Amino acid sequence: MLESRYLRRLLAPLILSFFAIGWYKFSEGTLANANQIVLNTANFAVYVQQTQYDGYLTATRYICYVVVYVGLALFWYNLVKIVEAKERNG
Amino acid sequence: MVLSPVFSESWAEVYAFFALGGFILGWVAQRGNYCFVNAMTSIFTTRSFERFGALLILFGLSALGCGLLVAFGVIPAVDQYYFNYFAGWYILVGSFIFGFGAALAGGCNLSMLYRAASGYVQNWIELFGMMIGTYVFAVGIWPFQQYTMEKGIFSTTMGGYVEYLPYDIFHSVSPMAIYITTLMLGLPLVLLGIYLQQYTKKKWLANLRIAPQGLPISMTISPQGQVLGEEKTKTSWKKEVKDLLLLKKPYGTNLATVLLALDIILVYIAGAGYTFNYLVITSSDGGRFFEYILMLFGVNLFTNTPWFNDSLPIVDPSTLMVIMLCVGAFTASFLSGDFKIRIPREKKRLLIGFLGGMLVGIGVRVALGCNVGLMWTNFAQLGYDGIIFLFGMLGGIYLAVKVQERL
Repeated sequence: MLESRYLRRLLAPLILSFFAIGWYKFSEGTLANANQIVLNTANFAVYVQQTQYDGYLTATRYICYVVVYVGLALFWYNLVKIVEAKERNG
Repeated sequence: MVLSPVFSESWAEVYAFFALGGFILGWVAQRGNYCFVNAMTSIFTTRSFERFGALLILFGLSALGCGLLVAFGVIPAVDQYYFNYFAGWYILVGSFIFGFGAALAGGCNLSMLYRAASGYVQNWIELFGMMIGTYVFAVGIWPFQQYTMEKGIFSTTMGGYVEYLPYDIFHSVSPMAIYITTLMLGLPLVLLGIYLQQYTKKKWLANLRIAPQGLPISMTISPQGQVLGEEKTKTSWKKEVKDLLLLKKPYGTNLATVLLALDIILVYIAGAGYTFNYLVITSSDGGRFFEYILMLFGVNLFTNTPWFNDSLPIVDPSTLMVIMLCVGAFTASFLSGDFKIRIPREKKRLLIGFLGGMLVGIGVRVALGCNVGLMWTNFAQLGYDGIIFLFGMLGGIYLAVKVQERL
């Protein structure tokens, strides 16, 4: 059975990676749809222009790549460290 | 008037810069344990001005950095005043409510976010309370407040350059007027901050002298001892830097202050011509995330709810900034080994956190911004709303300290 501190070290980077993916998917789907509804109702106080929105999505996508890579790197690094420690201690 | 971008970055780059700014903000605030509310609370509880002095230095450096960029023509003046808010009764009332609520909940807008990302459950509850508070404000207070703002009842009706100190003092936005105002605002803040920090340190030293005796005096005054001491200082300085880089030690208050001031200047330069006043807004996103959560259930607040339907764009650079603030704080706390889910032992702290969070949500919306987006940012904008907010917040925190003493 893994101790809670090991679990924390393994789960936290994975949660970070899933959060980044989830945020991008939410932005691409739900938020884009909401922006379209705003445009259809001609509420220009809330509407975000398409070029600006595309910029937001592009930045979010690249941030998502970076966060997922970093999260996975941390996950594997911690996994190797934990396995090493477990082997050393029997 | 249309703002023309100073640097011709694409929108994606603007968002990326704001995201980077948010990441730095979260990282540095977490490593420096930077909290505006704690800084002010310590004035009334421990009579310590060390962290409050650092806050004043932060405001002064931000004003100097942004003001001098404008005074020397790197960034047009219009960028500094274009998004200045209206000033009025609501800033004083809102900042008072905010200060009271934040002191009860145990964190300002900035510390709430980085502590929530570091695993503090009380701050999760505070954030949720803030979302509910924003909704209460939107349906219960905003229509009335908007009416007073439109009619100019205890409120200015223009914002912009009318709230710009160089214009208020010299009736001009010339480089010389901005230069003099920048120095008049920034330098005294920095000097006062340094003075307050020195005052507190002297007080601590005086208290230490009263305390039981430490090392014998002879050990500290021999010449050999001095040389040894210098070498030791050199080595310890290198070790200090190494420890900071390897996240073994938290950042000192003043190091965090300088890094945060550089961060706001970075975002100011990147956002010039786009969205300066969206700089480091962390409060709108309390409402925005509530709206996002409801969107998942098919409820769209932006269609018919006051404030949500006229004041909150679906996304803006602050959205990514707040997200990345949390990512930065989480990364810093995780890599340094600080990250841990922390549930308060006293369960009533959760309830207090929620109620305090609600007051924070109401307060920041009434004031039109929080300690970061309104107070800190407004000092950098050479406005006077930040000064009003500072005194209102101090008043609210003082009341909260007195209330907590009696609880």
